Amino acid sequence: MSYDFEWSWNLPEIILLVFAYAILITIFTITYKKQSEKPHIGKALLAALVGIFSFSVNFQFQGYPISIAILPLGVGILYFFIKRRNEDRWPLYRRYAWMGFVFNYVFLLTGLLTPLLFDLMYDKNDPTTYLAQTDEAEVHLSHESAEPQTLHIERLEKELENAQIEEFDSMRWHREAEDREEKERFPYVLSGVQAESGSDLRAVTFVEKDGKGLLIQTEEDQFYVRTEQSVLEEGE
Amino acid sequence: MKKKFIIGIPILLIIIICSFIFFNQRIPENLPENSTLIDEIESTLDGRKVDKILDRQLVGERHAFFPYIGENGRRGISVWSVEKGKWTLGAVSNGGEPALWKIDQDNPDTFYFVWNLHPDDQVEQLEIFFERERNFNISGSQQRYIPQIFSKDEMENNKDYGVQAIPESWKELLEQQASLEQPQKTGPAAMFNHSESIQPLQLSYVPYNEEGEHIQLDEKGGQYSFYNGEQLDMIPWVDPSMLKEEQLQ
Repeated sequence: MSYDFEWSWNLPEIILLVFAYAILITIFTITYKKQSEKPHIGKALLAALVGIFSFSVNFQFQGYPISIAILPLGVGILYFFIKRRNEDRWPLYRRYAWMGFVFNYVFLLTGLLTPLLFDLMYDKNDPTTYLAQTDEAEVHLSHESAEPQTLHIERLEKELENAQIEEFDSMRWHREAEDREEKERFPYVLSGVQAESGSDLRAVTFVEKDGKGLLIQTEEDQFYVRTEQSVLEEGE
Repeated sequence: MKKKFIIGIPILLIIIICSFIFFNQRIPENLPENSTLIDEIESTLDGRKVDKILDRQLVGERHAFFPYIGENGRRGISVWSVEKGKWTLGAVSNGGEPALWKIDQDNPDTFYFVWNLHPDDQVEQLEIFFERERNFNISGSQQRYIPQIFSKDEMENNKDYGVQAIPESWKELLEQQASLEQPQKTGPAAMFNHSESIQPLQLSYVPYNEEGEHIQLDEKGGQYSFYNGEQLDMIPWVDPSMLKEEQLQ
């Protein structure tokens, strides 16, 4: 078996990042064209890049890292170096330095929009989001108390279409197993299942002994889904 | 003249760097001689002697397993890897109880069982158990049930020693567990997630004799081990009657 590198595609994040860069390039080009006395374009670009450098406060917004720029350190550095050497040159570069600082807020905006766009594109509360690609799905025995089984992929796909999320009592399941009324309610685990492409979501799915229940553990939630028919070959 | 010099230096640098990388990636043609192996293993054993290398097994392209016999017929395990173009001793366990060798800790595809038991123990078969505790967790209206994992792998002990990849289903379980345990998002949200209710995965082993009775090893050898870059986790012995009672009834 080869080692596959986990490449995570968070499509909403990528879309907004491309959008942000498009805005930045547009602003930079328009500013540069409008300027009557121009510095060298490379130097202007460098000034904008240094301008991005800032003291900022970082925090999490719905799971995404956000940073709010407070002190324009890059602008200060540029001011210090350019003005020191040549008083007249500073006005030429000033706008690029500040432009760089403002770019921080463009990234802040796209950062804030990412979870919103994500929710428009994917439904985190729908179990099928996590079980979207099942072509290579398999079932493995994860508890020796049950018999090895094979997965009925067509039935799984069909059942997922109208699967219902059900309430469950985790404490009761735990007690039943510990009291040995039952050995393990979920003795199988699914593999080879992928979430909707571009969502970068992952889940671990256990299958109930009768093949009619799926316990989907996501990074944040857990869903219990009951199906009409067993998704296992030997079921009904 | 000066120009040639300026062009020449980067080219020379590139050649040096490339050959350095090539040299470091190179795999030696032959495994080291037994005498070299013995010398190197002995140098880690605090004066204990190595009598004989039992076998020479290549694991993948860059790793090797050399079980050995030490002082007083005790068994031991050594694992080696190619480092900087040379075979290098990675870990030694002076005592041949089953261990889990993790070549790349983040990739369960590179996990192997290694063992080297004393023939007097007459072990016919080894069973390795893979467990995770059952758990549940309620926070507000959010219910969570963590199923128990209890899986078994059997290994025939034909030669008293061996190296064997872990089962595919275990690789799958380990990978899935890791994918939920290491959310890429960090910060306060990640600190309060469910992972604390998921217990770690644990291994244990049970040896069986010819009659299929479980036994306890007498000739376990020393507990001495040495690590130099390779991870060799000892697998603890477990009383199967306890296992059966708890999980299988």
